[in-house]
Amino acid sequence: MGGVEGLYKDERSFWEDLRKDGDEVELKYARDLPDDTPDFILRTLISFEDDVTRFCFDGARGRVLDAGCGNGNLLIRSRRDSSGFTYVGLDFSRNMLDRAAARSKGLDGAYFYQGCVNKLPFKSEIFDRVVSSGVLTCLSSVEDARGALSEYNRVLETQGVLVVDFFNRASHFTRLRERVLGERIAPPEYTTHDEFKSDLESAGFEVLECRGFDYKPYQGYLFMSRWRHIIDPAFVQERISRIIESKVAPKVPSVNLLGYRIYVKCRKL
Amino acid sequence: MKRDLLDILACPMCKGDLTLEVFEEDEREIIAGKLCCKNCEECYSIEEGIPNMLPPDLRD
Repeated sequence: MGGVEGLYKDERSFWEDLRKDGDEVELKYARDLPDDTPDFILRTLISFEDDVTRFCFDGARGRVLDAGCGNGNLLIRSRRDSSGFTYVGLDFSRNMLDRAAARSKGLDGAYFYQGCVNKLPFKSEIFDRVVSSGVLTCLSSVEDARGALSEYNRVLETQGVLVVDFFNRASHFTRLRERVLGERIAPPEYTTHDEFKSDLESAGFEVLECRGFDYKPYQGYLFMSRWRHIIDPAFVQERISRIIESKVAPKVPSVNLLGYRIYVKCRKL
Repeated sequence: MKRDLLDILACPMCKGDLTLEVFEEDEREIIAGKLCCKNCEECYSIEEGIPNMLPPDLRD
């Protein structure tokens, strides 16, 4: 097995093979966090996911596709505040879909399909909104990511809303990893706002709004877990980042584009 | 899978309309069955209520 198909199957195998259970574990799965993640990080993560859910789902109506819904973290959160829309979750992992379906038992209007984001199994122009969080960054190639954007456009009604995210190649943390640590920082996992905007426009979208997250001096618990107890025992960087992403960025649009992870809301033309 | 959501589904490969064959159904949804494309004739299984609409080359 090799090439793009091989990469795709490797990614899917990762999600299919996860076997632990429980709400806390479900939250960690969504971000690939280690088992010993401390409570403070989990609380920060819950707060982040609540913000993301509001950005993705506020104002949603009609029929909404969550393309790459995973274990349903956004669904569970979106249903706390509003149930005024039909939720359609699609994921390539049956394991994650089973988790999402089990967690959504008792919630009306939630339906699940196993499928691939760049070959959507839906008719054209049938969704009022498409949300795709943490998905394009996992695809094997730029062509796959563009293919997914094209499919999102196809299934959306005219004037329908798309919310997608990308990792910012121009963030301080990404530049540090590229220039100092020599890591490969390339699309589709990492891109710039201008490049992403260009891809969205080529796919037939108009960008409405951006929301930035993750302003940590060094990116997060996951990457520095071995040294965290020495370098940052009080989680100072997480606290600063959370203040910027929750208090500053919503009021100062330009700050959003400095985040490591950027969500983009756009409209189908 | 709810019967009335068949209306939104299409073949992932050619976007053709699908026909539904039901093997097992309860009062809420279709538990097991098969969706086949009228155009390219590719078929997709429904297992434990969830249709597997992955393209053929990406299935196990």
